[in-house]
Amino acid sequence: MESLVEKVQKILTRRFPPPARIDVEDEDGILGSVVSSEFRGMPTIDRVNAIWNTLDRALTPAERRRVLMIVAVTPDEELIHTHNV
Amino acid sequence: MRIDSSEDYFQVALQRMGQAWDLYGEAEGGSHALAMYVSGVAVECLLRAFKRRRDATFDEKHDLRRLFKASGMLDFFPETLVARGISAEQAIVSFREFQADLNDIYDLWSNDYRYASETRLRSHLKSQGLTRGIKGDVLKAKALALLTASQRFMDKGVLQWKALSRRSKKS
Repeated sequence: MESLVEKVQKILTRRFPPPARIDVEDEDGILGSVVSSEFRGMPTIDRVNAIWNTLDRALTPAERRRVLMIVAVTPDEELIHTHNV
Repeated sequence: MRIDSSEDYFQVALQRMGQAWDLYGEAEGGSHALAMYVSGVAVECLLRAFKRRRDATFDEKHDLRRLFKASGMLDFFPETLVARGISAEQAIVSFREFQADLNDIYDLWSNDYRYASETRLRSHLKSQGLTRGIKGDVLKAKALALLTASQRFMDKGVLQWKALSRRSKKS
């Protein structure tokens, strides 16, 4: 049976196909990131809505509650955010 | 209840940020004062998570400035970015945008907001000169500004947390 991680990964990959990168993990809740050039110039609230509108359409309310956060960034932003780690 | 682990703080940070957006977007116009308070709590929890990961010996209470510093999240190395293909100009712009987010979070959040009604908080923001030039619902506009800055800070935190966790697993 498909796990929730796999389901979320599949839903996001369908909406944000390669070259976008999707990374989803489950550690007491689903946490993930979508790295896509599509987010370039897109306001934060529109990124949040792009992710959650996609998930809300495909997940049950119980499944949705298990998703803690999906970060939506461009490839450059990912590099900038993590360069000091 | 005592929260001791950095992982606990991290999980709560993620939950509170999602709850802040839910409050902001609620039907009937949203609960903007509460959304602002909760988004600040999300940031505080994230900072505590990073701080605890480095050092569990000192409590900065709710002082965001001290927590920003203690978290170790703010280090910025433009030369590293340039070496990895980011232009010098873009590195500077990113640094300034990040500083602007920190300013918004610091200006627009206080732990006292948990006691503030929508009316009281609206008056407070006006008295602080933080609503100049805003047309329409100033509380909604400032809530969006704070949630936007908080989300960008959370994005950075999540990506750094995942990178640190990957490194811990390898070593």
